[in-house]
Amino acid sequence: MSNSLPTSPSLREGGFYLEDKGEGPRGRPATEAGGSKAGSSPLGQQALLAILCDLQNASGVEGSILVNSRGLPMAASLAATVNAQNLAAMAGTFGGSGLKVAEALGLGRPRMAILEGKSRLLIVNLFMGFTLAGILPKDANLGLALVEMERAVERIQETLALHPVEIQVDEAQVSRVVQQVAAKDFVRSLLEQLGGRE
Amino acid sequence: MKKIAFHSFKGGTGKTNLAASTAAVIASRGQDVAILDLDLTAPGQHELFRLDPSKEVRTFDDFLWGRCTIADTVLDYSHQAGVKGRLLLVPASMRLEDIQRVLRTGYEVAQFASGLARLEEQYALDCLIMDTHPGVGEDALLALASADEIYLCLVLDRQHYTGTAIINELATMMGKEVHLIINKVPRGHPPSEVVARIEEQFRRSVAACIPLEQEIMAAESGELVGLTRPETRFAEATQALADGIMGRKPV
Repeated sequence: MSNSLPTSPSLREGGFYLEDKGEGPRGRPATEAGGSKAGSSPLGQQALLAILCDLQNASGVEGSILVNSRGLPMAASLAATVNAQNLAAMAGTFGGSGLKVAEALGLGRPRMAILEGKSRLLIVNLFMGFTLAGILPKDANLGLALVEMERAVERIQETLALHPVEIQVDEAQVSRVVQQVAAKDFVRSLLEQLGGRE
Repeated sequence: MKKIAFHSFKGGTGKTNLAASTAAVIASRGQDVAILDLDLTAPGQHELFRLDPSKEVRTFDDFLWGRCTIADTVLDYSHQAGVKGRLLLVPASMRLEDIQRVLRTGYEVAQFASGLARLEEQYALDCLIMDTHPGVGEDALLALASADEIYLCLVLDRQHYTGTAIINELATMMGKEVHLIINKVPRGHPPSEVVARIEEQFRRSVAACIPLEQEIMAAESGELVGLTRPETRFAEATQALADGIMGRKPV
């Protein structure tokens, strides 16, 4: 990792966060989890592969792949004829489009998207910046496949030691405190000077 | 002169370190910057700048009480920090009687405002960084009201979320531009997920998402890590914050 200034590190303009470099401080490898080694060690990869194999055994999923936020495959259980890099890129693109559509329509963060082809289905689970994609025949048991993919996601999160961010804001408390603060003479005076709304 | 406030609802977010290091990085690029310690009841900047405790210095408290001019309070660390521009510090008082006086009586808004104006007039600064007192006290709100932009710091802790939302809402009422800084992110939280969740919740852009680093903890707030430990992600973040601050025009 060079010490030069990051040129385009942002998720959005002006932002800076640190996962896109593929390495930790001073060149140490790091995973998306900010240092968790599970995904980058051989044992971690075996564990991830085992999860994908279990997914196939327990459901009608023919092949599956785990993709990181940069669209790179982390583990794959696919037929030899399937190009993992290509599927990773396509699954990442499909999942990313789903995120944009959900955001544009105000649906909330999507957990899953399904693409139905004439002969096969592509299911992508979106979780914590990762994408788990599964391909299954159109006549497969979709309900079972969805349950098993959710289960696989939970196991992957455990394996990578990922912790969801639980942000709880007490909106009523926010509103109450803001009203109380804004009602103070001192703050009213400040707001008037700023020309802000009360 | 751009006026930037580094603020948080609760303490322990790394706000003081971030403010000081960002100021130092800006100065290292040849620009003139002052950092004003407005955490008058719990000052910390003097530690980062290794201000000699045996040395009698005038502080911003002294200026607020009319004991000295603002120029008397300004300490020049440019040479010591080895930066191309000017890096100035206006420290807060560590004297117990001064801290108690601030708590008991507060200070005059007009005197505070004149201090900022005189810093701007006398030093032709490119940027003034204000390290505020956490929370929603009048001193903090005054600092926020005086700023062109607010960098609101938080950590991934339930104690921070509602308070951060309160500050964010108040800043919105003031018509301020707010950027979020998520600091000390523990392992197991993918940054993209953290940024997405925080931006979704607070509807503000995340300017930096910084992992918890042993190297920063080891510095024990005794150095300007933005300059002294450039290999850390914290330092990289302060570089990006400096880019963001000096790349934007005053509101």
